[in-house]
Amino acid sequence: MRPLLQRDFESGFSNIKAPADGPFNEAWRPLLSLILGHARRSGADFAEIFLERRNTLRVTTENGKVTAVAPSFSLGAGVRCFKGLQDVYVSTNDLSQSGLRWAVDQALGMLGCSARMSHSMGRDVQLEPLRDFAAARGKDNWLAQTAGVGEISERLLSQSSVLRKKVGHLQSDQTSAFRDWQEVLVAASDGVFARDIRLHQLSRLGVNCADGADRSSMHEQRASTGLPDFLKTVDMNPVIDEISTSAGIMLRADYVTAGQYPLVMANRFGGVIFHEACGHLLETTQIERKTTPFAESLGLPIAHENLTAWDEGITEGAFGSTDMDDEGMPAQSTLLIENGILRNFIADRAGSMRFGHPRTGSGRRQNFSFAAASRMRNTFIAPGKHTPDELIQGVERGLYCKKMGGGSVGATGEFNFAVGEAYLIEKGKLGKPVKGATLIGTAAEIMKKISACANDIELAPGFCGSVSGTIYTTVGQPHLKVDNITVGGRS
Amino acid sequence: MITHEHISRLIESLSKARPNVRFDISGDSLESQTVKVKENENFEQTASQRTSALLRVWTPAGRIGVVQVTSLDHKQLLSALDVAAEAASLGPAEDLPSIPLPADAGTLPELNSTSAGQPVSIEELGTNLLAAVRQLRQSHPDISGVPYNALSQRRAQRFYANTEGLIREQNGAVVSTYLYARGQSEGHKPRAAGHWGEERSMQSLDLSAVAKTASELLVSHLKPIKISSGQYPVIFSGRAFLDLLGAFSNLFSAQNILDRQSLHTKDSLGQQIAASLLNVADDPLHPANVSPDLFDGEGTAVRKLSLIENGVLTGLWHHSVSAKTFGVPKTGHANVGAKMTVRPWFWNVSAGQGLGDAARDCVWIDDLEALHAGVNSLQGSFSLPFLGYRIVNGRKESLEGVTVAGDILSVLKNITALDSSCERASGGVCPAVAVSALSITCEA
Repeated sequence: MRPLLQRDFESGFSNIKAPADGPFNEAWRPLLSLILGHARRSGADFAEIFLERRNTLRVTTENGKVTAVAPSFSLGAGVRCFKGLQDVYVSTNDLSQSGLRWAVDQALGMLGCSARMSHSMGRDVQLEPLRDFAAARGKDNWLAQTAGVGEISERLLSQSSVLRKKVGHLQSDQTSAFRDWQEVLVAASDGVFARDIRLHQLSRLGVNCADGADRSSMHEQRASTGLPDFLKTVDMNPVIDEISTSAGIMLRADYVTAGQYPLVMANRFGGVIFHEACGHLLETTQIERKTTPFAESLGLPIAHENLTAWDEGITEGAFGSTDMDDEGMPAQSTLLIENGILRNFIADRAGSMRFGHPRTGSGRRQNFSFAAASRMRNTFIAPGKHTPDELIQGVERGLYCKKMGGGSVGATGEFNFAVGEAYLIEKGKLGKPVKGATLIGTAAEIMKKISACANDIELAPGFCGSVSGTIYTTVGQPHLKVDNITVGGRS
Repeated sequence: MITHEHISRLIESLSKARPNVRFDISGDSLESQTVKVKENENFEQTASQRTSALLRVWTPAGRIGVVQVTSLDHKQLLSALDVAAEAASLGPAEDLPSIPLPADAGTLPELNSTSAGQPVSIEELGTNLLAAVRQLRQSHPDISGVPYNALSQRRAQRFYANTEGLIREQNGAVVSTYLYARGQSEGHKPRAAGHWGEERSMQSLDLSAVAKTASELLVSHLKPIKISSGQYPVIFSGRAFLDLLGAFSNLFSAQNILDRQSLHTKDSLGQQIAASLLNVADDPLHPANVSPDLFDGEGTAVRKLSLIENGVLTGLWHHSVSAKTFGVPKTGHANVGAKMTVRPWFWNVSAGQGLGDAARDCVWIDDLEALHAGVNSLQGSFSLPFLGYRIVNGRKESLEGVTVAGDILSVLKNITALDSSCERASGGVCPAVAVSALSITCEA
């Protein structure tokens, strides 16, 4: 079978080799400068190389036994080239000189540039002094400081043991933890040369309860960025209490009756509604696809006047925080909506080039096999002046969504969210628990119905899947009130 | 790409370096090219070559260590073998698989057609896709764009090998596309709908037909109506029903039963779990499966497996450990990782006698959406937005802002009719399926 991707470039390329094992550092400068120069000489207006090394570990227990210990090691590179506003992306897990050269030549060929014409030695790209966020913040020892398999297993088994004592009608329990250590190096033909180390860790508990035909399932997680001892120190006892209580209550809950409800949404993961219903529509990739109703709304009201929202990458320890994005730009804080007025979009390099919105340090990707794209980091609605009780007391008959599940937004701005734990509100007080609710609406409409925010903002870790893969994010909000929303359920 | 000889040499050299270590290695090597057409008709082009492999090491103490890597470099694999051996002592101690033996792995099936066309250039991919996007965009004045589209060609080589002499290797090629368009009729909200296609080569993929179907679907949804929320008889299209089955695939997983993460138990086998007109099989070598896998993660040859016969649960997907626990032969569904799981290959839901009058008055569900968010597989419940129609006296009108909610076990038991022909979807073949009543919510 003929290969799909040919390796037919001529020999004679410089014999500068890729550095052997070891951290991404200055030793990569000669080769990356040369390859970027080759791309520029061949006709690319801009070229970028992204190198990635990853070391992950996942440990799982089920029903009181360790059932999986999964270490994983990966290495890869992505090459992105632009000619005008046209761009191409090629990825490989061959980080040798020939592997990288192959990737850049594939990219050049796809752009219509003649890579073979440029073998003569010419001027390399002059990379800036290495901006080493890892060294500057003492991250090089992070991996060695993390918990080992034995310690993680012990903690997970202990959590499982407590769960099995506390949760009634337990059918199965699962505890898991993962550590994702990632080293990246970005070099670009505009001189960017930056390195970072990221460390994401997560601890998760889940229970499945059953009593006859009644069933409930609950899970909850805590996560961090850049805290090496997180899995040694995170206190999951409050989480155990939380999910054991919720699972017990929801085991007996009736299905919600479908209809229109005013809604009070809890803080923490309640922020997923803003993430899905509005945040995605403020990414410049959505402008490019013409799938956002807000493309021409900069400076205009798009939300209720009581709503202010941010996206940022700087909150210490938050799951979406990053010292630099995957295009080598330092993180920053971006005001998205101020008192209902759209102030900024979330922009990566390509979005900035194509639409003129300033880059926001938001070029992110799951791994080397994706080109960076404009993506959210820590995204949250700012706190207001009310207390959560005031919001609930202001609802005659409605729904209180304590725990949200996942959700999605479609190409027309229609969104939906699963609700994991909900209660009816009757005459300003919480009533009986209900399950099976789905919140349905359209982004442009719902943003104008978020009419009041409480003063109790909290963040929650999550995962976001979109054009550049699945990335770590944070959602957050205070308790907030939605005047009216469609709730799908069982009539 | 990796050759059979390469795999043999790899096992030989690793065994030589670690003479007393028993191990297996499975993985794939993949090359792909993808083109997307942007709204301004510029191309977004990507290409990728990658290798991924999973090493499992059986230690003398009877434990197993697992490591995932992205390189088949001898030095790195040796290092991975050592890490796996170290991880084994801290890993699971019970229900561990034995290293697969050639005599137990079965004979690989032969495909009726293994013909894969030659790959085309990325320029040709782009030209073909652009033509399809233009065709779709120009097919109706209310279609405003095709924001989600792609045409990909992919060549993959899967392999499995171990120190006991079992070596499996398979080449495959797939060309796939999706076209998801957006449109709006005056006085109505924007709508989106699309279609997909998959074949072994560019030459056999009818992009124009995909564009035509996507256009017809979207146009049929441009003037939607709202209905009262309530209970309605429902018909799932073949692809929608397969999506629902797939979301509740823990119903057929022996591993999930062992983990107590299924609505079924070991005793469910032989029980009536669905209406008697329902027959479901996993059929990896079905002619409609354009990229069949010939062996699973343990190197076991795949085969057809009956799951539901006349409504009775007759089979479960097994890997070697679950098969041993249940006392049955392994079925070739192993998905190997740090923990062994199982996976379906290709659903085959048999056609029935036709929908009859069920199709004259119903809510027809074309596409279920947001399955990742609206399905609770441990509870059996779902609440999902969908693209569909209200059909009254045979006249159909599109619906907007609708969700369907229910319970999978009730759905299976309340099937009233199956269409007389099957629809090919990405994960299998299935007829339209009529269900007596489900709760439909419509946005006000």
